[in-house]
Amino acid sequence: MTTFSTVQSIEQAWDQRRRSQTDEPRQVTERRERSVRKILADGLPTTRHEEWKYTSLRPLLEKGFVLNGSVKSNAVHPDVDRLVQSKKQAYSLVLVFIDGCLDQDLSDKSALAAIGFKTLSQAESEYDADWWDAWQSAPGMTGLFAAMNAGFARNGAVFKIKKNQIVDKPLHILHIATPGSSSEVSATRLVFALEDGAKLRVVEEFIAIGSTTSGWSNGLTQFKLGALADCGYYRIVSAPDLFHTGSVSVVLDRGSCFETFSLLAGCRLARVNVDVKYTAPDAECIINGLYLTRHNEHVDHHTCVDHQVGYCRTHQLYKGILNDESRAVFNGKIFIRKDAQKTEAYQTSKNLLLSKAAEIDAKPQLEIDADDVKASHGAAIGSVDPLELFYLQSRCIGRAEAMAMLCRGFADDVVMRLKDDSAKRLLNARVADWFAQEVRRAGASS
Amino acid sequence: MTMLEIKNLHATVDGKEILKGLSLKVNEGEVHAIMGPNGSGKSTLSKVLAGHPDYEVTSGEVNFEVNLRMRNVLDMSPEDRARNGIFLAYQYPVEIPGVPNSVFLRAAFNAVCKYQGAKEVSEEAFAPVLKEKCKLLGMDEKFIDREVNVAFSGGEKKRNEILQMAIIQPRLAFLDETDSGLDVDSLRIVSDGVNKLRRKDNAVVLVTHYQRILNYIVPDFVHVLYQGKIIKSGGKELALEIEEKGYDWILKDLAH
Repeated sequence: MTTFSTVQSIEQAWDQRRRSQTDEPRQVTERRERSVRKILADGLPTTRHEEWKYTSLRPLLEKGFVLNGSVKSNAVHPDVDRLVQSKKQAYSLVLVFIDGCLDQDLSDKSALAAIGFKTLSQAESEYDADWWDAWQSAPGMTGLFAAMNAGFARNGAVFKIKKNQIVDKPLHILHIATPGSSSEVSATRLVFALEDGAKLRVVEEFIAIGSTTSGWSNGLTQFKLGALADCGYYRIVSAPDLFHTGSVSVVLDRGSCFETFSLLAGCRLARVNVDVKYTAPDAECIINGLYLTRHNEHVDHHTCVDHQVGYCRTHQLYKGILNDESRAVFNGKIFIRKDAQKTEAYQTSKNLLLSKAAEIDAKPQLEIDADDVKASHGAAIGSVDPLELFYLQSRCIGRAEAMAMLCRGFADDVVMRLKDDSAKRLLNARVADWFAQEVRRAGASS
Repeated sequence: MTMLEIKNLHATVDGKEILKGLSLKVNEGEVHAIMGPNGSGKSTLSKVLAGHPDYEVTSGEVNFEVNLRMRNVLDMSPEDRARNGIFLAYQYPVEIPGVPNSVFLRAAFNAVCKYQGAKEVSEEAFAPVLKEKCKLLGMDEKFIDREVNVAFSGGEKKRNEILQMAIIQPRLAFLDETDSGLDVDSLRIVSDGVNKLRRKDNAVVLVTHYQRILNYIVPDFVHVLYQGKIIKSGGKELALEIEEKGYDWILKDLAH
């Protein structure tokens, strides 16, 4: 067993894996190895590294998560079944991972077959090297955690949505951490290939059973949209003691439309990277997010949208509410390359600090090399607007309630922009949960 | 019976004195109009009364009748002033993104209920109340679901203020230039709304530049505010005189 602590330990873990995984096709192993070699060449970043200036890996390294434990059988926990059943009432397409392992029995196997579902290992041996190489060279794949996932993830799922196939029901992917899982990295990889004109909605949710279940999930989620394809991807992390790293990689073809939302509402340490690349004109990406933090939580969003071609549109809004000593980082890059004329790109980061000890590092970044574009970016950091507070108070509403109402309004403003109604309802419910916890906390302390 | 009594009020904003010894008495059932040139302190008076955090009272008293006793308003939080029956309709209502009007209005209504020891109402029970008030004020029900004042036109914002007034049912309504920026139709609708909410035991103070609104909401008294003080009071005919002759003649009279 080798833990995630140094570059040497990663190399050692890889050697062990290569020796033990003898049944894997050679080209699969080689492809994985390229990702691992990339990490070994780069080394582990410190806060002197520009991309890691505000987020230290130290807490993660100190926990000593096991990189290559034995393949586990699915943990049996009495709450797992209940949790999955409760989700199934609302969503008929469910895919369940427990502590990083795919649980086919709890998932909707037959329905999943209709959307081209394969397990990661099936797809690794069935799809050819060219197919996989394209995913390997997708944007963001050289990032530390994307590369770690591509190197080590044993579990995952691959979906091929056929041309013009419209999937009505959202696919709800549940990652459940159980109390027994805390020492291992659970790495899962998801790949979604939407052919021309296909339509899909995906909710990926990371939760834990038991409020103190800690663990580390390192997810990699990839999308490739064909011409005129339409995809919604909604990512929710709500597990207060979980370490979470996630990489989302998106490639958009002509006229395709991608809507994504990242909600971080409870996490010990989170780093989510979203990388989007336009490869043909007329595509659109709506990339929104909300982080709600308290205690000593630390959440970090790094997004990068690359306009390599013209006539594409990006709309980005990230909002955060930070309480106690929590910290958040927002780094949003938008590149508009020389040939990307008639691009529209708007980026905004808005943050509400509820405590003097909370800290936000917001860095909107817009680099424009084309000369005929519409683009703007901005960041706002502040506390609750005293005039809004006064307005509510002058309408009989007590100060504490008025504060809560304004914070909720601040959060709802971005949630309500979602185009997909079922995603809106779900995210709204998760946001409501977080605020209910805040009210209970305020009640307990007063 | 006396409802509001302001005695020798001095107030500053950003260290600059705006109100310089203002006195005013309002009884139950009365309508007062306060007029005055720009910068005379009309809006300051409204905001001081509601407890705006930017305004500081340096001396003087503001007393308001609560359960037959005169109480010092200046010691109360803005929410307690409102709960006790003082309402300010803003000249520039604040936009609150993300908060639906229905949520806001129910919270206001329930805050009053709670303060008066009554049971709070559910969303379901409140919906018909809200609809009825909208109807009373000739307002479209679409107001209910929209975010508070966000993307409202000037007239819609002013109407929304009166809708809030209808929900809270204050005893003293202070309308700060509610008529400014309204076209003739909106002015009539807003005025009708205010008139429908009038009772024997409540009072209205209109702060305005123009005599126009006073054709709809007829005042018992008209006061002229100048340099932070009330320099002349009279009946409704005073407003007509000001409309005709401006303020200069009053200032000249004073000088003599």
